[in-house]
Order: sequence, then structure tokens, then C-alpha cells
Amino acid sequence: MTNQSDQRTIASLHRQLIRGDVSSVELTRDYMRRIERIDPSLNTYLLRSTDLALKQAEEANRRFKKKGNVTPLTGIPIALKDIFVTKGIPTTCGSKILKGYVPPYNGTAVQKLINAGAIIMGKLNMDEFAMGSSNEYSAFGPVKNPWNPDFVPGGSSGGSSAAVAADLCVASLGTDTGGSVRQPASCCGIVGLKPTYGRISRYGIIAFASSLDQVGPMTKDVTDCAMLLNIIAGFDPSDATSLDTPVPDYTKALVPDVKGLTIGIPKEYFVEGIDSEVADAVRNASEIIKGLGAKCVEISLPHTKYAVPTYYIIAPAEASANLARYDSIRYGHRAKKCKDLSELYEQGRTEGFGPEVTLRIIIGTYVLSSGYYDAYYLKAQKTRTLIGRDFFEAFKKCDAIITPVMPTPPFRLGEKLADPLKMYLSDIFTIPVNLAGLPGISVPCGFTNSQLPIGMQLIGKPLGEETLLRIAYTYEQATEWHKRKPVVR
Amino acid sequence: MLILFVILRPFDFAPAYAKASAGKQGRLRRMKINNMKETIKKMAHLARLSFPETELARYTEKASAILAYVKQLEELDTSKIEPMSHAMEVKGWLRDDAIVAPKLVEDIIAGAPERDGMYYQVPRVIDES
Amino acid sequence: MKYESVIGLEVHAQLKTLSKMFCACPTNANASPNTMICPVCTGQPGTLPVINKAAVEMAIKTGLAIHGQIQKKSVFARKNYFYPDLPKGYQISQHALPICLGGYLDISTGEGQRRISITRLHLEEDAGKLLHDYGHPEKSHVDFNRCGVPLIEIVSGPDIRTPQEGGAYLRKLRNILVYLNVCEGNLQEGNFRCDANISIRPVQTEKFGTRTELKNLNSFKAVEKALAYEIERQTKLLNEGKEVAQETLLWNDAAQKTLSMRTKEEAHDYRYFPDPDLLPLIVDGDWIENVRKTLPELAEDKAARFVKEYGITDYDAQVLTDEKSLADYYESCVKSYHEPKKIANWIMNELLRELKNDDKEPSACLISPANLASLVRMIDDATISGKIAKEVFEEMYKTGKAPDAIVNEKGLKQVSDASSIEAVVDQVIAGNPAQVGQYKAGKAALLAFFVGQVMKETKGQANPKIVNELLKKKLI
Repeated sequence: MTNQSDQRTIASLHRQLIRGDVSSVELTRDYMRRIERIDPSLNTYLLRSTDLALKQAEEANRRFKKKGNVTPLTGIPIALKDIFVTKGIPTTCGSKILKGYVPPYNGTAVQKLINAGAIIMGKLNMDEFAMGSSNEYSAFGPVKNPWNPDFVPGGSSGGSSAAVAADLCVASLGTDTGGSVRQPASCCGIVGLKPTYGRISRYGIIAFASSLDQVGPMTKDVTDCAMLLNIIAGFDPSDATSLDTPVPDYTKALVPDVKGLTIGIPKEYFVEGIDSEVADAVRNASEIIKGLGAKCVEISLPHTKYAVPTYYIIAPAEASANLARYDSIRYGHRAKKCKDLSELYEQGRTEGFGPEVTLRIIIGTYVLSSGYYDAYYLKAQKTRTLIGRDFFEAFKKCDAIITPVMPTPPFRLGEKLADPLKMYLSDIFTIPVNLAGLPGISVPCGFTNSQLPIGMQLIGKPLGEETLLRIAYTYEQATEWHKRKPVVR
Repeated sequence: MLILFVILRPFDFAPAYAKASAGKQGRLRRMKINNMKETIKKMAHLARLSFPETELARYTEKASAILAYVKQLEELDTSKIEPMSHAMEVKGWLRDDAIVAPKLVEDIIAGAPERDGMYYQVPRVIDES
Repeated sequence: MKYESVIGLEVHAQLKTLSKMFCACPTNANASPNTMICPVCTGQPGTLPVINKAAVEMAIKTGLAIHGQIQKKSVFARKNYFYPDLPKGYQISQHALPICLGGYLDISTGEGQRRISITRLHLEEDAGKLLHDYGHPEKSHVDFNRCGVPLIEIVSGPDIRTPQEGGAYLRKLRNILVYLNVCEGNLQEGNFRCDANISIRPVQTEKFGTRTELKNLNSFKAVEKALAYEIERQTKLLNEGKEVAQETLLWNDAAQKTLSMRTKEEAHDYRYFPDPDLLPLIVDGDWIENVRKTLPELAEDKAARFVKEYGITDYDAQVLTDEKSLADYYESCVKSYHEPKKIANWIMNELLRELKNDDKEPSACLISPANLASLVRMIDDATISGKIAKEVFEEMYKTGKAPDAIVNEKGLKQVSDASSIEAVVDQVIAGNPAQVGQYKAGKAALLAFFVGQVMKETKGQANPKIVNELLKKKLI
């Protein structure tokens, strides 16, 4: 089911708001009605911040009237993955353990959006603590893919990808640790960018795996992605891992020209086991990019097969420590009738965490524990160096690398729940990018015969967002995939 | 595993070798699973998680599968490789020693599941270092 | 069987930074509960640590002062365990790669100097405070004000052999930290804490015995007593053929013994790993050199300088430099009036006694250095006698008034006018004919009697020298 009507993007709405064709309040109300009507069948919103949104919309109206302090995001309805800490707005991270938690502060990316005048429509569903690839591990029910409700929207930013695809918000912020922005973007036919590690502040995103987490814009097209990135990127003194490098105007990279660029095609990524429809769609995309003037070369990323095992040591390890603060003492769920501290900890945490989170905490604890640290965690950190080196070598021969986002099209709800490893392997193409800290963007590049979206991934050099946006924009403008959005009633 | 095998040998008294073998393999496997169960139970306790026997068996099975899967990193020779903690080679950012007056105190303590005035309240902690 | 003790001391010192180690909250020690907190130090979801530069600098300073090697690259690691005063469920500390390795302190023992090695110094954050005797009896209470305050942990080698050496090591280390102005150095207030590790082994052997850890040592005396007690306890056990159990013991000052902790302490698996929120701490050579230049003169060097510059004894120099504030006080006095030996005597004999009685710090003393110097000058220029000076001193100590003000108020000026003294001398001689006779007959010691009488008559104000001269002249 596709719809070719004119889309409500940040860019187009910004023009309309400036011209006065629509007011921010009208726009916000319209989105609210739409959410009320459509979201029950998709379950993307965990919380709608109606009062706040209207207040912000009225403020935006004032800004437009005064013609002062207007940014491209002013008056634009945005929704946030519920991993973003929002002051005064309950934040759950998709988990029971934080049900009812009202944060006392705004994270940096959120504050930047608010300062820019964006309208915060609410908090979006996600896999609990960002651990998942299908949004089926949420404590608040799964999200349905708006293209076909029997299928997953991807994860862990499944609520974000579905909401953007279904136009329940103009754009969203998600987070990406092993693919959680790019993979759901691919599943829902939208654009998802994971920037270079450190490009966007992590202060205020609930930590899953600190050395891998990054905020990512999730938008209807590449232009919106650049506009959103402009607002939220930059050094943050509250995040010691954020990069102290200037933020360019990413919209200047939106030039439909790839002449002189070389695209690398990693031979290890196109092996047996990839769904033929996916492989075809991505190969076609690379042909189109070639046709537009870029060169394509084969490259090798020899340590590819070790990326998923490396990730499933490092991410759970860091998560096991990051989730230790959920001990019911200062906030969050507390078990009733505990006779001592021991019980308080164990009952509360066991009640509050879902099974996938519990499993990963156990794995993480194991790989860090005495006697196993060297063989697992240290080994994984060394393997990570090797994976990073692969990319470093490859980038001597090319400017960007093209890969599928997932080895398969979006799968059915319930299809991969029995065996965790099956689920983990759907991240095989996105994980290496997080391990190496590189930027990666997912762009729609086709549909399966059953009308499910397929995305392609472009991987860039460190701080190579501009190159990625340029290639993605060029490809997008030469194709029509981005104009297709699901019809949802 | 070899060690377990050696220990079990003296108890192998069954007349039919094949029958004893199956029993022995079964014992080996059960010992291995029980050891793993104990380990997982210990890990769960370190992480302050606890669950009934049935769940323990399930987590043990899944965790074992994942741990076996990730062990393939052993194939790599990383003896001369430095571990990577951060993707970018960045010089650390250090903060100047300046105070920011605490302004969020009320909002923070309002989140306390149990409190007594301005103190967070917990079940009595006996003794401890 | 003769045993020797093998003792290692672990010190945790709170650094005197303005803000906490990883956030900008004030390190105010006396604030009301849970008022010096922010999302970072209460471990709210989504928060991140950022290193306090001044804390690093204080660590470098301290490392240099204890002759350690500052590591150009050190790494912060997470030490994972659960406790209510630890909001993140881990403490950010340093494990495999601390900021400083090695070092030593030379201490004076009964048998001369001994060098105690230092293994390492690292930075970490303090935990909150857990209270057990507030409010509901079946509850404990947590205050996070202290959570996140910067600490340096200094670990000595197992070189200490007696409780006294332990005390000496601690006192010296504390002295250095106070001199550097990096720590208040107050054990009772808890900003300078000490844990001890102790085992015993037969003399002339290399193998370590089983060691116990001693905690809850809240004063220097407690440290020495606890060590002594534990040595005795372990010796007794071994002599009876029993084994020493590896355990953590709390020193109970009231009962003057070590007690095993009631709860069975499970072996901690801290699962240390480098904190991914913090990049490795890089300290370049320039920074280290700049800090080295700012190192103040430490006690040792100051004492040596005092001996050289002021000609006072080693012992006096050591006493005067033990506290930086006292050393500064002394030098201020000497600056006012350059009689270093005399001033040293006054401080050592009079001032320190008074301060000790009142348990006061030199900085709290009411007598200003200028005034003390003045007092000494007044003796030297014969304005008052030495004896009267002591009276004046007492008044100065109590009131903080200047010596000349007191002398004028109380009319204590020494009378050096020979003619007025002569009159009294004549009076005394005339009034004590028997003693005069005895003196003239040969009892020379009676001169003191006459001096006494003259002093009595003049209320101590007569210049004793002149009194002596006149008496001698007149009693021929």
C-alpha cells in the first residue's frame, strides 16, 4: 500500500509555516488527531505530551509572528524514542523498571530541539533498554510495521521508524548501538543516520552500551536528516566522549553529484544467506549510483564475521554496568514487602527487567567476571581494533561503502523470538559500523514483492557525514522510493 | 571436560560398554549443565537478579548458546593487538574546577520511592564495611 | 618463635577541590542532607561523568611529593558492586593503570630513618553516606552529598614493621597532604581515612602470612592500638598452632579490640573494566613540570632550611615544621624580630604547651606573630624581665592583646632605673640584718633571698640584673 501524495517533511513544513499557510498550533493539533486515530493500531506512542506540545506550539506561533528566533525546526512536531531523558515528562526506556519515572533534567539533544522551537509530541515505543531488533522486547507491547501490521518495524527504535513512516510525527530522534536507527529505518522505508561516534552528545540518552551508543535522526528524506543533524550535532562539555570539532552546515552537502566519488562494495557482505530480493535491491542501488557518476570497487573487510560475536560481548558487558543503577533506591520500580536490602535489589530488578535485558545482563556480568575477562571482554576489545583497521584500510580505496542494512526483509512478528542468536544475526551489517565508530546512513532502495521496504546502507569515514548525505541525496533524487509512504487508517 | 572424564572413569562398572558409554556421556553432559547453571546463578546474583529453577534452566540454555557463539573470537591471534575502547583518537576533555549551584534538588529527591524528609530510605543495612 | 609484622596501609584522602570529581556540585562537607546533589552524582539515567582538572592536578602534586612516577596515561575503571550509597552501582576508580606508581616516605623510628615504599596512588570518587541511627529503627538512610567527592587512594608497600612506624608513616603522609593544601587531613572528620592490612611471619622468612584487613580506624592512636592488638592476636593464634583467618575486622575503640564483621563477607568480584564514558587520562610532561614548580617547600626541606638559616637544632626544626601553619607562624615572628633561637624557645616551651592544653591549632592562636616577636624584643631591650614576660604572655594568649598594651595597663614595666632600685635594695638590706650577717659570713646562696625580697617589694618589676649588681656591691 503506497501513497504518492505530497509529504509533510521538515523542509516543506518549514516553508509553509514561514509563509503562514499553516500555524504551528494547527499543525500540532492535526498531528494529535492523526495520532489518536491511527496509533492504536501501531502502538508507537508510549506517551503523548499533549499539554506541553500545545504550549510549545503557541510559543512557536509567537516566534513566527515576531519573525525572530526561527529555525528550521521551529513549530515542527517531533517525537522522541523513550530513551531520551525529558524533564517533567515520564521516561521509561521501554521498561517496567522505569515506569512512572519523571526525569529532573533534559538531555542535551532534547534541549537543543526545544531551544530550536521543535514541538515535542511525545515519547515513542522501543525495545527495552534499546536491546532488540524488532521492538518486540518492549514492556509496553510490540510496534506494528505500518506497511504491514503482521511484520516488525525493526528495533530498537521501532516506535520512531513506524511513527515517521506513518506520519504520526514529522521526524524523530532514535538511538543506534548496533543498528537500532538504521535497521528500523530500513524496515519502514525511511532515512536513518547514525553519525560518527561522538558527533552528537550522549548526555541525556539512557545508556545501553556507552562506547557504541549514538543519537540518530530518523526522517522522511535525506534533506530532513541534514536539517535535524545541524541542530543536534556538536561538542558537549557534559559528555567527555563528544567530539570537539566544528559542526558544518550539513544541508550544504545536499548536492546531487557523485562524480569523482568511489563506492566500495565489501565482498564479505554479499555472501550466501542474504535474501535475494535484498541483494538485488542493493545491487541495483549501487548500479544507479555508478550510473550517476561514481566509481564502484570491490573491497574487503576480512574480520566481518567476528563483528557480531564481538558486539555481543562488549555491548552486554557495558550494559550490565550501565543498568546497575536501577536498584529502586533513588527512582524507578520498587518491589513491595522486602524484608531486607538483598531482597529489595533482587526482587525489584527481576520484576522490572524483561527477559532479553536479563539475559544480556547475565552475559555481560559473565564476560567481565574474574577469570573470564581476558578471554572475552579484553579479546573483544582487541578484535574491535582489527575491525576498525579493516575499515581504515578499505577507506584508502574508496570514499564510502555500500551494503545491505539487513540480510533479510522485515520479518514477521514472533518469527525470531525463539532463538536469540537468530535475532542478533539480523544486525550483521550494521554492527561493524558501531564497533568502528563510523557514520552510517540507511536509505530506502526498494521493496519486496510483498511490498515491504528494503534499505541500503552507506558507511563513511570518521566525520564523513557530508559525503554520506551527498551520495544519499543524489541517489534519493534520482529515485522515487522516498516518496512512497504507507497508507494507514 | 577431559578432567571430568578422568574422574568419572572409576565409577564405570556397567557390563555392556555401549550402555555405560551412553550413561557416562549423559552424566558428563548433566555435570556440565549443572556447572553452567551454578555459574549463571552466581552471575545473576552478582547482578542482583534472581529467578525460579525453570527460568534458571532457560537462561542457562540461552546464555550457554550465546557464550559458545561468541567464543569463536579465540580463532584470532590478537597477541600483538591493543584493545580499543574508543573509536576516535581524541584527547580527553577535562572540566575546570567550578561549582554549579545545585538547582534540581527537589526534582531529584521527588523521585525517591521511599524517603524520610531529605533522606532516601532503605531497609536497614546491618553492619558492612 | 619470633614473629615479625608485615603491615601495609591504605589511605583515602578527600581532595580540597571546589567541585566534585565528575560533576560540578560543591564539595561542601557540612551541608544539610541531599542538598549538594545533581543528576550526575545521584546516578540519574542518561548522565555522564566529566573529570575535574583540579583533582588531577592535586593527584599529580601529591604523587610528586611522595617521589612517585606520574603516569602519562592512566585509565579510569568501573568498580562494580551494589550498595545504597553507590548510586551508579559502580564506583569510578582507577585499577590497572593508576595515575601514579611507586614512591616512598622516609620516617623516623626509634632506630633512625626507615624508608617505606609506596606502591601506587590513584584517583576515584567517594560514595555517599549511609546512616543507621536516624528515624525509623528498621530503616537506614542515605545522603548523597559526599557522593562524587574526589579521593586519592595511596597504598603503601608491606614495609611497615611496627605500630609506631605505622603511626609515623600516617602522620608524615598527612603532613604532606596538608602542606600541599590538597587535603584537610582530619581523621575524625573522615577526610583522611586509613585501612590497614596486617599479617605476621617468622623472622627471617620471605613468605607472607595470612593477612587481615582492619577498618574503622578513626585516629592515629586507634591505628597504632589496633595494629598492636592485631599483632598480639595473630601471634597468640599462631603460637597455639591455630590459623589466622583471612577476614576484615573492625576496630572497636570503646572495647579496644578488633571484631569480626557480623555478616559473612562474600568475596567481591568487582569486574573492573575501563570506563567507556571517559577517555584515557593523558598527562603530558609539561603539565607535570608545571606542577613540580608549584610544589611548596615540604616539611623535610623546610626543617633543613630552618637549621641552616636560623641555627636552631634539628629537633626544634622538626617540631616547628610539623604543621605548616606553625612553621609559617614561626617565620612570621622571626621576620618581625630576627632572634630565631629565642623565638623558637618561646614557641616550643610556652606556646605549644598552651595550644596543646586547649587542643588548638596555631592558626587559632590569639597571639599574632608580630606580638610574640614584640614580647621577645621587650625582654631583650630590658623593658620587662623574663619572669614578667611570662605573665604578659599568658595575658596575650588569653586576650590577644599586644604586649606593650598589657605592660602599660598593668604597670609591669621593668624598672631599670638604678636609683629607684637602689632605694629598695637599701630598704631590704636594712630590714634583714640577720641574713646580711650570714651572707657576709660566707653563705653566698643567700643572695637569691635578697634578690627575692627586692623583687617582692618591686612586684617583680625591678631589673634583676641591676638588683644583683647593686646587692653584690652593697653586701660586701
